[in-house]
Amino acid sequence: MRRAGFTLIEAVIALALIGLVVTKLTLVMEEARRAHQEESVALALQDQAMILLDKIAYAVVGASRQRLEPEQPAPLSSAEIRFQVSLGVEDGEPVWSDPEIIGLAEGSGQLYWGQNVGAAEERIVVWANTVSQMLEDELLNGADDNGNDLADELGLAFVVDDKSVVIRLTLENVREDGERLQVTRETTVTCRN
Amino acid sequence: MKTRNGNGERRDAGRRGSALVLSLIAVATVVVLSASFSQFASAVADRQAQAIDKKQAFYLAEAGLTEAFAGFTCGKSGIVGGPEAPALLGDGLFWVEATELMPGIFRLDSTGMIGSGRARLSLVAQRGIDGIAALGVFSGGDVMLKAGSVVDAYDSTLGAYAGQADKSGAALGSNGAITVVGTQLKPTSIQGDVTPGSEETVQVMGSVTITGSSTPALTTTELPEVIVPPVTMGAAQTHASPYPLIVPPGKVGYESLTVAAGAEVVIHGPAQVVLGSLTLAASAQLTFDTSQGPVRLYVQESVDLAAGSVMTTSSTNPAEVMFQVPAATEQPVALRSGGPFHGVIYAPETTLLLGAGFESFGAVVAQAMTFEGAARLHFDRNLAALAAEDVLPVMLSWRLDELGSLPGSNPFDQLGVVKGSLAKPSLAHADQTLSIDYYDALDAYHQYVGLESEFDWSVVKTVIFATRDGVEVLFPRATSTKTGTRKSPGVLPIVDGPMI
Repeated sequence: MRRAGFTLIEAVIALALIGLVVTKLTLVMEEARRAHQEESVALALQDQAMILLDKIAYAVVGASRQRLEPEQPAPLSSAEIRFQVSLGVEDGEPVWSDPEIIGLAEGSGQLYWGQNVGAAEERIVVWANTVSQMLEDELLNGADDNGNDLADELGLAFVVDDKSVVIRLTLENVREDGERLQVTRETTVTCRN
Repeated sequence: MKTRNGNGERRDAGRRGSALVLSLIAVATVVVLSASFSQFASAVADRQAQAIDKKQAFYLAEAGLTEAFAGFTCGKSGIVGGPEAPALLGDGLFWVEATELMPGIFRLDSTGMIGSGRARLSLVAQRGIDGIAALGVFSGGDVMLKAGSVVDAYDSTLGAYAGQADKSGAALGSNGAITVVGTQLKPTSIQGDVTPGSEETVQVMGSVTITGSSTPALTTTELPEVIVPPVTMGAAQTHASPYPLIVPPGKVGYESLTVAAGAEVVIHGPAQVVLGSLTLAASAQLTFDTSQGPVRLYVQESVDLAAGSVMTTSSTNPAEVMFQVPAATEQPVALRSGGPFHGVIYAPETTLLLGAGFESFGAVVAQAMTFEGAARLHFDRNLAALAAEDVLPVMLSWRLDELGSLPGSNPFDQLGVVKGSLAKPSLAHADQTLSIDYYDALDAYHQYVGLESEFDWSVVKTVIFATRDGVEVLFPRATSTKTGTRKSPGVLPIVDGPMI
């Protein structure tokens, strides 16, 4: 006698197994998607940090010590730097660019470059808007929490010591699960003029 | 999944392959995610590689500037290689072009290329100058020192002249003949070298002491022109008030400045003061206050400091005051004032008339010099040390002109050059005509004129004098300072031919 279909038990077991497999697969795929997103965000953040730091360094490298402010030797730091770069020489005298500034807009996480700020011919360009409020592992408590000899430094910190400018930058992004991802980079530039 | 029942019949065919489909969906999803991630990672890696190439190109261009500047320091043109034959450094290349912007001021443009990176930097440099103050007391024409003259030296860094025992190291030079006169009652003393022009001699009459050499100079000394800074000239000033007239720091100019008897003018440094003419009446006073910075005074037409007037300085450091007369004047520049004056007096185109009451601490250099009485000239040996630093070129400006990348490019293919055929940086400097007088290891005097590429520098022990393309090479002196003019070796040179 030919038996058609499954018994109820067979069907339940089969459905349970299928459900198990689908659930596992979904978890694996979700894990893969999440890992992909995390890695992508981290990679993009690192890439952006490196490019930004280079951009700042190349902007500042042509400055003169006499036209660089504020002078903030450690443990003080500043979230902005004002400078003028040399454009060449005319009649034996150096010619300087219009005043430039690179800074962090308070509260917005925006890193901007500006020229002639406050004047009629003002130019401001936002270079990034993912700058962390404070440098990585730093808290606003008057102490050096992250062991870099600076106290309460913001997400973009300049330390000017004679012709050297130490630039520290922390970028951050928030993942889908709400976790913050931070990348910190640091470089030192010696002003050539 | 294929199964059969006990009778060998196939079960429900519609359920076959369902697990495979699910597996394929899962694998496809993972593959798509992996592919997109690796594409993203590859784009990031490319960007980072370009950033590294740019950075390396930047440092290559900077290496080019350094190489050119080092050559510039030794009197070379600053040209290193070119786009058709750049210098090879590591896996990259660079070349430097030089452009003369104005006399003595050059712009060096350095281009560095490696991988996809390309950077161009420029630097403006001013050639060093052979500090005229190191000449000591020098005249372009004949010099005659009268009886009772004292030409000696001291070191201003050790304190005042009067307190120093060592008065050696003076230099009295001329492009013409030098005559020194002394008497028993008024002997003349020169504590150092006396150097007449290359074809001239020193004539000594009476009681004269010369502690150094009297051999003639190797070559005629050219006195460099004075560059007067651009200054807005104010109206003529005549100052007769009992209160001092203060000339403030900065760039100041007057058509003329006349100081009446009993009046005083004080020039506060740091200042560059340009005057049409300068006149001090008897008992008038001109003071250089250098407590805040040096003073450079340029007088263009006439100078008349009457006997009984005073020209004095607040500091005993002669390097802080420079009194220059840039052009020829109708009448000799009359310096009959009293002092003490600590400074450098330079008049390359005109004659100085030094009064009997004039005493100088520092250096005096002029086209010609006439003494109304016994000369009292005290050379500051520190000026020679400072002049050694002036020989070095000075950087006026550094600029980043271009920084970019061209993905997939190769600098060697781009320029059409073969990597193996390129010279290393030190050999890529532009060839020049070298004229050099030197001593070899055996202290034999040699002369060579020809291409520098055909000259073997290893045979040189000491350079006496050298030019590249007719421009004097000012070698930095790390350990010793030069005072006075270059003396002739006194023998005929061995003339070298090409050595390489």
